[in-house]
Amino acid sequence: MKIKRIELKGYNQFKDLDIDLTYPQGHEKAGKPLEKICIIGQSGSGKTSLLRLLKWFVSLNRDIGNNIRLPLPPGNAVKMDVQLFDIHYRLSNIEEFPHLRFQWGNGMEELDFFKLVGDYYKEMNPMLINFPTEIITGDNGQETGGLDALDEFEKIKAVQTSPYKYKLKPGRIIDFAVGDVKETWETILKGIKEHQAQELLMKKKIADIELQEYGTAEEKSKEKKKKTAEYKKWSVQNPDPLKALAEQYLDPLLFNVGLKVRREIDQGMIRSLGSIQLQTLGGQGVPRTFWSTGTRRLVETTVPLYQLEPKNAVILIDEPEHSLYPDIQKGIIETYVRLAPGSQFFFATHSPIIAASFEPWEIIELKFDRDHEYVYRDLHYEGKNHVDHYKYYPEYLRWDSILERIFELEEEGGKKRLKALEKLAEVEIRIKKLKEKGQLNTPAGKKLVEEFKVLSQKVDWEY
Amino acid sequence: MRKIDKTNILSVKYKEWVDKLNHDEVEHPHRSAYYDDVVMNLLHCQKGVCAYTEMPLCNPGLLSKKNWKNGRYVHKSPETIGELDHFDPQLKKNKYWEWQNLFVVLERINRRKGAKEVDDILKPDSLGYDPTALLEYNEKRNIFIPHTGIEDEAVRARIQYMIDVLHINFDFVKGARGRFLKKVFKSRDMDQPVDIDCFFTAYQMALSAKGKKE
Repeated sequence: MKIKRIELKGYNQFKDLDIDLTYPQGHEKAGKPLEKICIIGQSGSGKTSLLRLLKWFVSLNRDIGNNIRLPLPPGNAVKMDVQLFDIHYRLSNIEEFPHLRFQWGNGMEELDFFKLVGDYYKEMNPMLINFPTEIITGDNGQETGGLDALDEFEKIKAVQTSPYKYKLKPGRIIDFAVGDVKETWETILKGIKEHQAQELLMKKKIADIELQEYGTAEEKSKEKKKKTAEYKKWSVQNPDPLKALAEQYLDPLLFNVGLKVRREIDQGMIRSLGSIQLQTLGGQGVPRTFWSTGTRRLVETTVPLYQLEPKNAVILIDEPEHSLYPDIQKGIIETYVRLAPGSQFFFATHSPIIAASFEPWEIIELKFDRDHEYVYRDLHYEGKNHVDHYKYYPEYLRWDSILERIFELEEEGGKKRLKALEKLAEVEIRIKKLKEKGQLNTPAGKKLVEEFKVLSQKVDWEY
Repeated sequence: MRKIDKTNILSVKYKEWVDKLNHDEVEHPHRSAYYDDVVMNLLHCQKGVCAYTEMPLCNPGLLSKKNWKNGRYVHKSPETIGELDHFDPQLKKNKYWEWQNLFVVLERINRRKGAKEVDDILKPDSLGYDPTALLEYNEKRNIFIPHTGIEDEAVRARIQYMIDVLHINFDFVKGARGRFLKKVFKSRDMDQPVDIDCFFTAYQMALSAKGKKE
């Protein structure tokens, strides 16, 4: 399941937004849906709103009309079109109801439309995963919102008994923006927990042999060898789900903060089975309460993607850079994409380092018009949408160039820096002139050189 | 920021209209059908670049005299990333369309210049304006400074104030100017033809500093 196009006409600040989400001409995947999309734009330009709309659209949630109300005068048409891989559907306001309803066009009957969608969903078995900026895990003290996961599941169950059986099945919408997601997390961690419990049990059986009051030392040794062989066989047949997660994904990122996933388990961990444990590179366990916000974020995003094995999902990640130090940001997008091959990712970011992980056609820049009244997509190509027509290639640029060219940051530093640069430019010219006159070794010349050295160091100028 | 000659009036109809307003001592309206005529005539005088930063603002083809007929600018889509700036914002209220007070500048510069007080010392079309006497260019750092030959600190401060108001050294301008000149001088070093269609003043000053001829 992938989205090919989004058209929003008259919704909030999106007066006429048309986003083509396909690869451009000249690309080997020309016309096919993009696999990852990076939404950038000023604060308030609607990045998160767009992700929220996508969530509603993709989940084909009929409650969308109750959640996105549009107090519009009659006749003021609102259209919100989304083109999934091979399904095109639209929400529009009907004059009698000032909010949105599904509309299926071109003479198609309602039931035919939903049958088409239902068959498509049945065949593709899609999934929607939403990671907001603040991921709710159910154990981090966050308040429960008005909509919570259980409510959502109840609604979905109710809908399943209705003619509208098109919705994503329970569990196929994984939304970490809602309040009570304990059930979701338990599902995600179930495999890890079962494996850990079984491993612990087998280890315990081996350890208990020594404590047995019966049997000779030889018999105990024989029994121990037998149980150990059984344990090894089981280990081969049942690979540790944490192994690949740790080695291929989490540990390379956690290395930057001196941590790694703890994989050895012992009796002391019985209370924390099914949770991800971390330790320092030196082997010292690090309790969850001491994890940094960034570390939590890494674990809370990579573990679901790894465990759920989404292959045909739409995955929304708001601010993937949230609380992550720049060196971790560099690799995070590539890690996410590897975790969910075949899925379509939507990221919303303010980070040039995150943006550097994208090809130019994967960048969607939302921009306010001059009067700050509406938001449009600022195109980064000229003429036709062709791979050769793009102005900037983020993957090839320096971070500061991305800030300047793509994020359009107008300054390279603060006001004091500009003033110091101007002073330095003047001092440099004066030094040059004194040198030409052979007066650089005078007290005035030496003073200028000293001034130049001090200022140069401050502004990090090369001599 | 080179000297701009604004005596070539192609938008004759606009000029007649504004002269009449002035003759009749009528306050200028803030809206006019002559907006494109004014902007494109100014751009023609400014050689298609921002009056202050000398960043390119439009396709040079739009500035051809063929686009004026019967004193009006007639090209259907005069697309530019420039905006009309009132050099002295005080004159905006009553003399909105006063030719001598108007320049076309980069939108981002116009927004930042705003209603700040101005000093005519760096007004690009003023009679005695001579950039080579007032400004010096550090070609290594792409920064304009008040000419080091000027010893009067008060004059230097006036020039520096206007460098700031007109955002001549603003970072994104400085960056674009540096990249352009680097490319130009690299092309020259490789005996490639170069087309100087922007940053004229910085180019000339950098050329002089390098002891080269055009």
